[in-house]
Amino acid sequence: MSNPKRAERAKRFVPVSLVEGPSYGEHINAIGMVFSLVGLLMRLKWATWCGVYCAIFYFANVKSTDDKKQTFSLLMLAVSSLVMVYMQNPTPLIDS
Amino acid sequence: FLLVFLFSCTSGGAKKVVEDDFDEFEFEFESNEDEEEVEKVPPKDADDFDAEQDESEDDDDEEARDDSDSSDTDDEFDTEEFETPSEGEDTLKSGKEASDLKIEESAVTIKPFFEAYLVEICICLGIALYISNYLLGRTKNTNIAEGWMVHNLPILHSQFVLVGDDGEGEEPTQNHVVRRSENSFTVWASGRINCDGLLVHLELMKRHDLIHVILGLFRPVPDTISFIFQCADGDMDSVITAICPRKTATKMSKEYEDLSKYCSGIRSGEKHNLPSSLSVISETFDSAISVLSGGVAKFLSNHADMLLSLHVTDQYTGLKEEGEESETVTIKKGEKRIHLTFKLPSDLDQTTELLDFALKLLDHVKHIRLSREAKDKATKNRQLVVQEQEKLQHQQRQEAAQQRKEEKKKAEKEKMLEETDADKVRKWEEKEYKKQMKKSQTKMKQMKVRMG
Repeated sequence: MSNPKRAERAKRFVPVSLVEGPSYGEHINAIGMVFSLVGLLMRLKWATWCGVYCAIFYFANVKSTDDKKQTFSLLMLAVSSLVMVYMQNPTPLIDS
Repeated sequence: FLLVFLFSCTSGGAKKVVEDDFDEFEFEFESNEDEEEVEKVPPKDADDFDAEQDESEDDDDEEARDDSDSSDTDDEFDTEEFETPSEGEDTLKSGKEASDLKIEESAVTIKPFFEAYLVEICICLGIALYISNYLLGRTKNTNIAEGWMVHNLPILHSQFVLVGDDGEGEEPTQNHVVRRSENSFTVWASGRINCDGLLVHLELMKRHDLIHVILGLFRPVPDTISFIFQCADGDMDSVITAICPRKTATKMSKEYEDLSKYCSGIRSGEKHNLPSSLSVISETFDSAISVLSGGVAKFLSNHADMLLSLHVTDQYTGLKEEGEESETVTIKKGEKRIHLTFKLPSDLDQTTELLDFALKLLDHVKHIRLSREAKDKATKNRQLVVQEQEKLQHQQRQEAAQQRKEEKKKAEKEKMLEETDADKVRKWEEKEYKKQMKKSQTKMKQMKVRMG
C-alpha cells in the first residue's frame, strides 16, 4: 500500500469513555469517610485505622479523571481523626 | 485577755506534751542506736541463738531478784513497766512481721513501648507493605506501557501523521503515553486514511493494589490491549458484527446496545471457518462473511486463545444503560467504530503483529460492500430503530404535558380553597361545571351521529 498518512485527517486527542473493569473507588471513598467520622466522634481507634486504610486504597486506585480534592480531603480527614483520637487517649489499641 | 491566756496555756501545754513525747522518741532513738550497734554484730547460727536465749532467761531471773531487793527504795523505775525485749526476740519478731507483709501488686503494670503498642505497629507495617507494593506495581505497569510504545512506535509513525498526543495544550505532543490510572494507559494516533484516529488502550493488571494482587493469585486477570478505530461516515458500510469467545458471547450481546438491538442470534464459529471456542454475533449472515473474509478468519483462528473480542459496527452507542429504561430517551447518533481486544502477550515483540493485523482489518472493512438484500435489511432495521425511539420520545412528551396540566389544575384548586371571597369561589365552580357539561355533551353528540 502506498503512503497511508493523511495530514488533513489528523485530529487532536479527545478523551473517550472506555469500557473498563469494575472500579470500587466511590464505595471505598464513602466507607472511608464514615469510618473516620465514626472514629473521631466516638473515639474508636480501630475505626480511625480503617479510615486510614480506606483512604490509602482510594488514593491508590484513583483515576486521572477523578477529582483530586476528593482524594486529599479523605486522606486529611482520616489522618487528622487518627491523630485526634490518640491525643485524647494515648493508651494502645488493645489495652490488656 | 482570759481567752488569750487560756489559748497560750493550751498551746503551751500542748508543747509540753509534745516535748514529753519527743523525749520518749529521743529515748527511743538512743535505744535504736544501741540496737543498731547490736545488729552490726555478725549474724549467728540457729543453735547459738537457742543457747543464748536460755542464758538470757537465767540473767533475767537474777536481775528480777536483785531488783526486788532494791525496789523498796526506788519506786520511780518499776522494771515491770518497762519491759525491754531481749535482743533475740526483737529481731525474731520483726523478722516474722516482715514475712507476714504481703507486697500488693501495683494496679498499673508499665509495659515497654513495643509490647504495649504491638497492634499499632502491625497496622503500620501493613500500610508500609501496601505502599511499597504500590510503588513497585506502579513502576512495573509503567514499564510495560512504555515498552509497548517503544516496540510499536516505528509502525505508528509509518502509518499516522500524529502519534502520542495527550490532547492538552495548544500544540500536539508526540510519543506521549497518557496515564488514565495506575493500570490504564492510552496512546492516540491520527492522520491516516480510512479512519479519524486510533486509540490504543492498555488495561493492565492492578499490580499496584495489594488486594488485587492477592485476588489475582486465585483468579488471574490478564493484561489486555484494545485497538479502537474511530471511523468517519464514508469509511464503513452498514455492518454490525462481533466475534468473541463462546463464554462471553451472551454477556457481550446483552451489554452492547447496538448488538442487543440489531443482532438476533449467536452462531458458533464453526460456520465461519473459526474454531468452536469462538462465537459470531452479526446482524446478517452476509455481514459476518464479509468481515471474516480476506485472511481475517485465519488470523483469528491462529490467535483464538488471545482474542477477547472483535466488534465492527456503524451504530456504536456504547454499553446499554443499566437498570430500568432511563427516564428520558435521547436519540444517540451511532458512531462508526472497530474495537479489537486481545490479551497482551508477555513478550512485547509479539505486540507488533497485533497492531499490523488491526491496521489490515481497518483497510479490509473499508472495502466491504454488502449484497443488496443485506443492505436493504440493514437500512430497514435502522429505520425501525429510529421510529421506535421517536415513538418513545413522543410518548414521553405527552406524559410530561399531561403532568404539567394536572399540576396547574391542582394549584388552581388550592388557590380557590384558600380564597375568602365567596363570589369568586362561586364563579369558579360555575365555570368548572360548565366545562364538565361541555365535555359530557360532546360525548353525547358522538353517540347520536352513530345512531343516525
